[in-house]
Amino acid sequence: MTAPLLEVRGLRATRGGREVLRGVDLSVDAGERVAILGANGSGKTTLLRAVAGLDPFEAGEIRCAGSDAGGDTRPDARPDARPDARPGLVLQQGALFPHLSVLQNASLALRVAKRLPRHEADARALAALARVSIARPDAMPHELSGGQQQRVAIARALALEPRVLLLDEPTSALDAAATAEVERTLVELSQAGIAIVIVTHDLGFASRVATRTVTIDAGLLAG
Amino acid sequence: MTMRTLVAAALAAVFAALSMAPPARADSTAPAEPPLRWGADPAGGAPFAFLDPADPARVIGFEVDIMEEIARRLGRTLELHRADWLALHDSLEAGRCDVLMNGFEVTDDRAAVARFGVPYFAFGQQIVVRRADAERVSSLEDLAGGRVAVLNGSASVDVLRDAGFPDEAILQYDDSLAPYTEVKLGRADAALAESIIAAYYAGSDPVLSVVPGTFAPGVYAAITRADDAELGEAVDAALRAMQKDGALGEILQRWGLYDDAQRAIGTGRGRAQDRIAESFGAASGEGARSGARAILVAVLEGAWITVLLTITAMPLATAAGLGLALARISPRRWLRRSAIAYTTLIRGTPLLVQIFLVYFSLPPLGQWLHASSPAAVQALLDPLGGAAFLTLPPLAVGILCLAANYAAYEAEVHRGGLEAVPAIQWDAARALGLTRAQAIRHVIAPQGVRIAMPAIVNDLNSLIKDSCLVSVIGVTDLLSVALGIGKARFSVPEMLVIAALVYLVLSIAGDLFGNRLERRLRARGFAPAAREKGAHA
Repeated sequence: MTAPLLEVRGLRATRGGREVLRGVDLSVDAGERVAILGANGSGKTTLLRAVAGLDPFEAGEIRCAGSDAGGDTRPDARPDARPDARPGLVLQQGALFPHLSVLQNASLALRVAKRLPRHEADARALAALARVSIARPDAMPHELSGGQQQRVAIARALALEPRVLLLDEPTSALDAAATAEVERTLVELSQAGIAIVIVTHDLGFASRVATRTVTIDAGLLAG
Repeated sequence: MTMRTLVAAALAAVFAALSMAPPARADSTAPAEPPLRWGADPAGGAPFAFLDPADPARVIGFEVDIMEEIARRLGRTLELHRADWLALHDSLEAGRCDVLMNGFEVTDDRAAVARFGVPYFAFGQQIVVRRADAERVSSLEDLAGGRVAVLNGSASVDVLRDAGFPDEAILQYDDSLAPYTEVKLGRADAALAESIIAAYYAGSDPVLSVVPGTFAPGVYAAITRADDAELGEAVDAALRAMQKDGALGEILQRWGLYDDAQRAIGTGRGRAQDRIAESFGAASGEGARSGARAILVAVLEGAWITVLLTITAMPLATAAGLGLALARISPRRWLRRSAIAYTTLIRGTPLLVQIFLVYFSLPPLGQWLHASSPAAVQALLDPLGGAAFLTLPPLAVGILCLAANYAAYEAEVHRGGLEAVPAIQWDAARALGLTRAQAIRHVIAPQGVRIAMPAIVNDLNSLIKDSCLVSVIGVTDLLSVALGIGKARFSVPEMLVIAALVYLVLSIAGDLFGNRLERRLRARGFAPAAREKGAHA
């Protein structure tokens, strides 16, 4: 048995003086699709943002595909030496960069953060877009349907070749058909060995897409 | 990137403008004598130095003829340095010109701070009233209790004060024509000015009457810098020679200005001359039609300067404003505070004051910097004019001031734009591993600028009109050209209407350009960010 791709131990986080996460443990293996359900204010978004490195946390340990962000509570200081050490993050609809084309959205981080030459960045971005079946790299985000937009957002995260993919309410603004598109894409990705964690309050979506469902309540996870 | 092209275009235009403008100082290595830079305000009025009514591109006047003759005798070419009359002395002290000759009366106050040369003209004060009052008024005493209009800062002010007029009864105007207009309109009871001004502006006016007899005699003289005695003496020598050989007398006769008072200060009559003053005819009617084309050309040239000021200053202001806005949202406190201090200072003081202050403080600042630099740095500055490297031409100073001023306003506009970018965009950029600077450069700023664009276009429209303020440092923009022509042709209201119409056309063109720019940005796929909620649980 290999080590889990994502391992969270005893995660504690405080927001606005309130302890939102009170010792969360979570372990996700390759090929798993874990849905985290919870009411508003239950701490599910806080958990995801801490794992993604967007927000600091007070105590605990986060291991992502072998890396260790534990103890370091500065969001920008995550170790990033290995290409897959940082989990990919897909936010709610509206997180695409509206002034950049689909291809530019997917290649921006490769060119700017990874400093790859343009042709290499574009090639990797196109490969990522192909994985989510997006065939219009020159389109602007607003020209795409909601489902296509979320698939571009997934491709943008995939372009950095993460082993773990986090999604924050990915279907909150989508209709049934668009939600189904996203479901299919996530299943294909997990079959290719990516560990997927989805925060959602859409029970139907969670039940259809997840291999495992956990509930977060008052800062604690319950299987 | 649109922003970058705009800035590049602006810089190119600035350089074009600088290369078009006359050099601030002639190349010191050239063996030929540098041009004699004569400071005067052609907007001040006739018959000193004013725009030719028949060809507003030309400056004419008896002082033009005198200065040309002086320059000829000194073996130098003449170069006119324009500036607001009240700013001329500062221009001289700042080294922007070498000699002033523009109706400067020799007074004790002025003689204390300026080096006056040989007098070239003797005048007396003369009263002008409405024709209806002509019988009643024969001296200043008859005007007691009334209001008298004068040229701002002229000797007439002192004459009235000495005669016991309270300050509120002395109405001061920035040019020679306005006092007579005010008398006609009834806002003033009389105008007081030197006799030659009275004769020119009121002599043939059907409503006004020149009160016979002059008083409080005085003289005009050229002014040079106290530390430039060599030039002062050379100009004096040339003028004395012109008095003796009749050249000065002939010029004054040609302008109908020679009288006994001139003989009294030693100006010989020279050969008898007809009173020609050919340009005066144009103003009174028949030459007007032939002058229309020249006026159109002059107005268009003025409009071009206004356009040039706008298309250079606005992109610079937009770029600098973005820099200030980014400083405002910086995590570094000193950067935030510096940006706040700058925008507060600039937005809290009048643009007009800023233009004057920058224009007159740059040359001494340059000299000071030059003097306190090591020799190696001085050598680098030599091709740029040495100690005069900051003595920029008026147009460049105008662009600089407009850009610096509008940058403070654009900073606020950009700040609003940057803050309107949804928080989710920051999250997305950081989740992709972009640093703060990278996120700003590639994600936040491009969107913020697009959001700010309508407000920037609005400010562009306002800059087109604010640009007229730089005329105070001698930039011949649309408004100053129109006013100059209006004063020379006694048609100020008509020229103001023409200028207003041209401003309107420019402003509409600016709006069309701005709308196109906004449409293009939208075509590049930018859906208004406000509709994309970045909130998350």
